[in-house]
Amino acid sequence: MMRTSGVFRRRVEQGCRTLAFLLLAIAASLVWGARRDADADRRVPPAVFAASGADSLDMLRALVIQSSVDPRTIAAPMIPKAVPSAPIRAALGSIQRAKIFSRGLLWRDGTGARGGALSVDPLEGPTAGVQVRTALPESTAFLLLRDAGGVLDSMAMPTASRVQVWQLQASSRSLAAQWSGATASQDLGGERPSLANRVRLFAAPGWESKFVMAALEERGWRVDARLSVTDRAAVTVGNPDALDPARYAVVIVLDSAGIPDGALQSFVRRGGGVVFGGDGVRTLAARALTGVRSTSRIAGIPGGLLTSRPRTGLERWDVDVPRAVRLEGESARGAVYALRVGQGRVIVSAYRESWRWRLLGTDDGLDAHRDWWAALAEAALPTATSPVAADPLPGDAAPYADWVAQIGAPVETVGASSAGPSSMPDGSTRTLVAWPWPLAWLPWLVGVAFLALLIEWASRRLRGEP
Amino acid sequence: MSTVSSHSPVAEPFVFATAQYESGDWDSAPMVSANVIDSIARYTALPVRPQGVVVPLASEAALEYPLLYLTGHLPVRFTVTERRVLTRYLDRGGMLFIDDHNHDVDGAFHKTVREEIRRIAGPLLPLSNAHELYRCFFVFENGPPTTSHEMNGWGDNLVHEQLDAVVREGRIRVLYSNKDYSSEWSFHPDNKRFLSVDNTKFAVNIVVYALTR
Repeated sequence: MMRTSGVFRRRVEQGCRTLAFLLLAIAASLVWGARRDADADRRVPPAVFAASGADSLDMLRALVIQSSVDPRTIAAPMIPKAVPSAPIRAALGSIQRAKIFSRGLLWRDGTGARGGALSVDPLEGPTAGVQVRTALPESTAFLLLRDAGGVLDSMAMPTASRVQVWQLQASSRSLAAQWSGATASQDLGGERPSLANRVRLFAAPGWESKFVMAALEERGWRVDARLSVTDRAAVTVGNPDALDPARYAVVIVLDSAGIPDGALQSFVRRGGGVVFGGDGVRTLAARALTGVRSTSRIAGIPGGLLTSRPRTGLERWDVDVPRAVRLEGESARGAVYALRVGQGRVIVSAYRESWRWRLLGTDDGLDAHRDWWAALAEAALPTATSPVAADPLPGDAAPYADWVAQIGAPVETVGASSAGPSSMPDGSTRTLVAWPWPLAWLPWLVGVAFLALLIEWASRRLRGEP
Repeated sequence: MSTVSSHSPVAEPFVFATAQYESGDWDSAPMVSANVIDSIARYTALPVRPQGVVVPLASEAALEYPLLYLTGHLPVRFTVTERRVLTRYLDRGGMLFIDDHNHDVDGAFHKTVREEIRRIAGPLLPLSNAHELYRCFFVFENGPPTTSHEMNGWGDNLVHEQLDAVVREGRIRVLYSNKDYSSEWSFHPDNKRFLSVDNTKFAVNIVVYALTR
């Protein structure tokens, strides 16, 4: 009986030893295989690309070429330093979904981007403002809010609250918040961007400026002006901003009052529209932009305002605008011209004191005067040179989330490995995968082998053998 | 077609126009025109013609002056032509400033001219003392400035807290006052030097408002 028990015990010890050696052999083979993969990875350094745009495009091209030669090389994770642009995200997402690579596209998060949220809601009322809410991660120190016209607001984030709410005026329909390398944007939508009907008027106080403003406002335009009553006092109409094509569609110049040096030229060349009307054609700005020459005034035809051609009753400047298209005028020198300057458009209208048409014209004079000024402003409106597809890349509202949705979560956050799991914009936890799948079994294999050897050694010692 | 030779930009000067109507005493405050013109020249850089004009309301010439001043003591009954011109004037954006020279809410001028305006342009309603008219140049925190004639027991013996107006598309078309600015402003401009506070400053606001809104 004792002998049978001793034989069984020795066989168990032998089994433990065999199991331990077997497990250690498997572990050794896994380590060897992983090392071979690591060598392959080292041969292809991680693809680090710095920003969106051309760099990313070059990197995408390199990745595709490399992977077509040796698909295994794509196992080296990319390390984007910024969230890639929408086309790059879309292209990489297509590659990922096509399952071209068995292990898929891997990436390490070097963007420094942290999830957050932006919401923009239009406010009811004549101010046409917006309410902006942001909810940002705790690590955020600084927030920048932009619209198409530039920076709207910036603020250092207090540590107490990560949620901010404020109200402000935005000229464009799209707002973007930037923080810690991340950007979120929201388009307010709407059929007509607010800037498309915003006009900046430069003029002195007078009947012409008053009735031009009235005509435009009665046709749905928003007019901003600062009308100087003295050297130090002015009447402000609307909410005048700096000249910028993102804020104003059209600038109307009726005389030389208040025109900022150089800003008008910059405005037109960047795509804005300008109407020089009446005495505005005599300004230096008009001459600099269009080369217009005005020599004398031509009196209106008496009673002309009451005819079917009412503008013949208006006094006008005798103007010549070289290289411009003549829109109106029967004599050698026209009365209304149009020309393109840079990306913008300039209209020159030689008619003076058009308000007389409104007050002294026929029964149609009131509406005709409104239509005339609305038509001049619309003629100067910038137009797109090519059709723009509506939201071709919808992921731009939340680029980081779109990037993760396209190619999956990062395998690692560069510079944040030791910080533990980090929060994603949706509140989930990002898993940091340090080892490829087979090596994850290594600790278990070694542990079981060690346990088997321990059992074998204890059993042997209890039998009194060395 | 005639040519006017000129090489310098011509600033169109503001012309102060007094409305002449067939009924009543339209010329009861002859010095107002000179005094307002003086104040505009004194306080602003606006080009202004040194002499005012008198414009018959029955004439289309009234349409050449987008701000008209109308005052009187006696009952007002516009003629058919005056009503037609005034209707057209207000529809097209002209601004009419009416001052009750009696400053008497029971007076003949007050009752009749308000009735005429109601028929032509609609009812006169109180204008908020926060309106930009009171801030567009000089600031009048409490609305229209009180006149000495409101304080001395003349007329209805009331201090009128507000002016009335007909407002269309956000702009004042008819401004109506019971405060008797016609008496307050009807003195020779040279005598302003005897005033501690120039009482014609509100007239500047009316002109600046009319020229800019």
